Amino acid sequence: MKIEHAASFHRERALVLLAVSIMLLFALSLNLSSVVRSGTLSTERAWQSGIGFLVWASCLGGVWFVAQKTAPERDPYLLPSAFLLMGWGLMTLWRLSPYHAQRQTIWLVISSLVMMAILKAPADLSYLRRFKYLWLSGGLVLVFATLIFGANPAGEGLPRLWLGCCGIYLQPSEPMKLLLIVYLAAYLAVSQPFFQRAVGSKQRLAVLAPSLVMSLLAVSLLVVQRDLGTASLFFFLSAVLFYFATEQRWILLLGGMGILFGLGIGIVLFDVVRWRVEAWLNPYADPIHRSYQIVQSLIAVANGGLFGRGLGLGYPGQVPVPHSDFIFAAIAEESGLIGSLALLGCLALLSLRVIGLAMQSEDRFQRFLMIGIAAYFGGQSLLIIGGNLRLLPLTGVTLPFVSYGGSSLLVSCIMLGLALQVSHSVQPKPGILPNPTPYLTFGGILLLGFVAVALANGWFALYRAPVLLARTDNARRYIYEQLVQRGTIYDRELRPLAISERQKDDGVFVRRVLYPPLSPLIGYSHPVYGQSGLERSLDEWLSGERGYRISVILWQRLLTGTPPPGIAVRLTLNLELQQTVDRAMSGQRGAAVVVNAQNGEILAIASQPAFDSNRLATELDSYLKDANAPLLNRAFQGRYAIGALGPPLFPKGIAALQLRDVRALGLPDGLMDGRQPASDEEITPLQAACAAAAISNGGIRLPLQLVDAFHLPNTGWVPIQAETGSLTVYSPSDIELFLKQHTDLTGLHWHLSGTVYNEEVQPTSWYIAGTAFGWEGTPLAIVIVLEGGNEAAAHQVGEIILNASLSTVK
Amino acid sequence: MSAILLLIVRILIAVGLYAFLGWAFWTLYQDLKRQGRALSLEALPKLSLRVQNEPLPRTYQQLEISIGRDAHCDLCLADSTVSSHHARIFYRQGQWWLEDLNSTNGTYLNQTLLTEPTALTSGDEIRCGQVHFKIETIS
Repeated sequence: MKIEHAASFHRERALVLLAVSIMLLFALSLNLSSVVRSGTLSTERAWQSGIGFLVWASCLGGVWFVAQKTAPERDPYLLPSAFLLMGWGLMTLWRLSPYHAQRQTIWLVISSLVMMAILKAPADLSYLRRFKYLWLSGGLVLVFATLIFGANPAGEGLPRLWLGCCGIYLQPSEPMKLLLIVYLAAYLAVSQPFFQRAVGSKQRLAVLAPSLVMSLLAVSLLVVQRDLGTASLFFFLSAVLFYFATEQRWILLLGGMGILFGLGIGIVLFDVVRWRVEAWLNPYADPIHRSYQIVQSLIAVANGGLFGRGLGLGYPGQVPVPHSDFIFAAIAEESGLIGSLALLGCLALLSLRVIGLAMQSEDRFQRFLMIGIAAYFGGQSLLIIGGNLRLLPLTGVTLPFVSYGGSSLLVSCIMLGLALQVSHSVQPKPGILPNPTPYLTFGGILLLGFVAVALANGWFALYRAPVLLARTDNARRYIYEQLVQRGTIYDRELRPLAISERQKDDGVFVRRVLYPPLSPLIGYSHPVYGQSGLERSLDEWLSGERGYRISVILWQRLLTGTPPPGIAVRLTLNLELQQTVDRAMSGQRGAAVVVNAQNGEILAIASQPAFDSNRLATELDSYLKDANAPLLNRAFQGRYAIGALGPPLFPKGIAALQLRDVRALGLPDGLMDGRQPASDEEITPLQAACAAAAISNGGIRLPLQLVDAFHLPNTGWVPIQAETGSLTVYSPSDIELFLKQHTDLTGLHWHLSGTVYNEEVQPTSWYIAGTAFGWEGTPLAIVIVLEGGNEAAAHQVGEIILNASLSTVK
Repeated sequence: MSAILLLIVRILIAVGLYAFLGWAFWTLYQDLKRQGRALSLEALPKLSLRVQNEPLPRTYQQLEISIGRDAHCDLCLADSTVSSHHARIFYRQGQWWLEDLNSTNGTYLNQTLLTEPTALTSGDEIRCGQVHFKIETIS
């Protein structure tokens, strides 16, 4: 329904003013975000956003001025919503890649000038319909030319879909979309009456034959070029226009089946189609290669959540090609579900208004032209947004008005100009529409598509977000570590073992293990190699995801997109004793554990040879190749044959110790829980230490403890509640018998030692000791395992460690 | 501080975006409503009729006018020869039609007993039981 002139002007002015204020706010937020990120205002950013805004605003003003003269009775919604989309895209580009944004700004000026020219051209569009074959064949020739002279501005070896000279590139398939629409609209407008009068399918086919041939030619040219996304879009555009010309619903069904059939053929013929379909059906199967883009895009959408991280505060750069194919993911990350739904609303408004124009128009050519343009705006938006959201297989088409791409912007602007002109020429009283069904059906299909995309967006931004964000290939977690201080790991005397330090040059935090021999226990948190050890098992605390009130975490995330500073952790280790143990163990292959038998606290834990977490990036290869396996933590990952030492240590069998129920607090996965199996023949040093501690503790087996306390905000150090799970595993008579046999002459401590020889692996020397009844201080237990069968060395190391431990703990 | 400022700007952007969409869709809805009202007013002409012995004609602008003794009828005729739901006049396909609803004493259009719905024109005389009335104007 056409609105009267004054009301229309009033509406458009309100929308334009809103769009201008939104863009001003966008420019402001771009500058503020650089302050939030780096603490200072970036003058470069200020210039970029300022120039971007000014160019955009003057283009809007120019087009508005011309339109006001030549098409005063235009539709009031088209111009503001299209310019809002263009501005939003431009601001996002300035934020993503200033190089692309500069070019896009120039293209915006060119496109606006062309739009003004279109608005000044004759309103009856006769120049389009009269030369329909000329237009189409021109387009086909250009597309054909790319087969011979094609280039790719991004580099050699990529699909050559552009024609270029002197730094300016044109993708002929973009104008081809418009030319195909113009040709089909003009041809079908003339032939529709003949089609309706024709009798029999043969005559009907004859009427449509030339346009069918031309459409097929265009589609197949693009298939040859391997631009399959555009080819499917051409097929879609043709199917829609044929549906409107014939008014036969089965054309839509046939078109749908044709696309499925084409997809089937594509899977067989082209690897790239098969990869895309596989990546669509199961992206998580190959997330680092073929479905890297789509998985990263979903993670970006998930990171946006409901409110978005704010323009300039997200990490859309993690998704490949964020400025073109994945600009929707970039917008969804930084503007959130709230913003991306508004974007969908703008696109839907634009497409549905153009369908409305088609219904009001009196002229068949104009009707079909508008339908083609609506199909382009709506169809291409749904195709690429659906691809970003894993609703459809990914195709490399642009998001109209928003994505980077000069040819695409230019063509969208020409279409907008045509729509504005048509909207000016339609009569206030709509003409008679013989059959409104196709318009309502097609409008309904587009609307359904937008609703489906919105639902998918909500699904990934809200429901699936926790799972997606917790993925190890979400690089944002490692970026936060550089921006926010990770929690310090201390020994029991608050001597730091691992810290995050702010670098002087670039201000980012770098993690450093201050006492490298503990690397096999502390592990690492690395963007490439992932996490291990305590860095992994305590990650939630160290990265600030736990330990705060949920409101604090959410508020921090809302403000800066990052978690709050990490929580510091205090271990039960004693650094001095640890140093003594490591010195005694140096040069050996094996493990040593010292446990406080009274409360299960681990006082020292060594694994030799050890790697160095700080040198992982340079030394990883040699660590991996090293036959001594320095990455292994022998204390809890190494399983050693216990041989004849087993029966005295656990006379009723290892099963009686019920190690399966022992969950050592804060220890990495698989350390002491059900995942590390223990048999009567093979146990880990830590399991042996658990048994030895039970003997020195009067027969009561305690859970081992490695984490002593967390430093919570406001409350300070909060000790960890000792896990319940103590169990009497030796009777007093067992203990008495054991100590009678193994206590030293002093009566202060007992020990077991021996070497287990095994045909398959190298011999293992054990030295297991603990305090006896005569000892009046804190009861202790120690376990030493050395590979290589040097029992004397084990004995020597064991005695050093035992004496050091007894004198340290007392 | 700057983060809070940025949050405010972000909220303003969201408000702006939804104001934009809200304004667009609200004005479109207003159009639709006005269009619907205009269509319904345009389509439904007025019908005026004069019951015998009444000084002024009655005017109706609705899709269906029920006639009968029942007080809820649009044209209530308090006469014992009129059935409680006697007949109806309705608008269909651009014309007003008169239909008898199985009344006891029958409905007569221009002295002819009505057996099926019949289109009306200005000046038609209708008799329900013993009550006469006349279609004055159809606009």
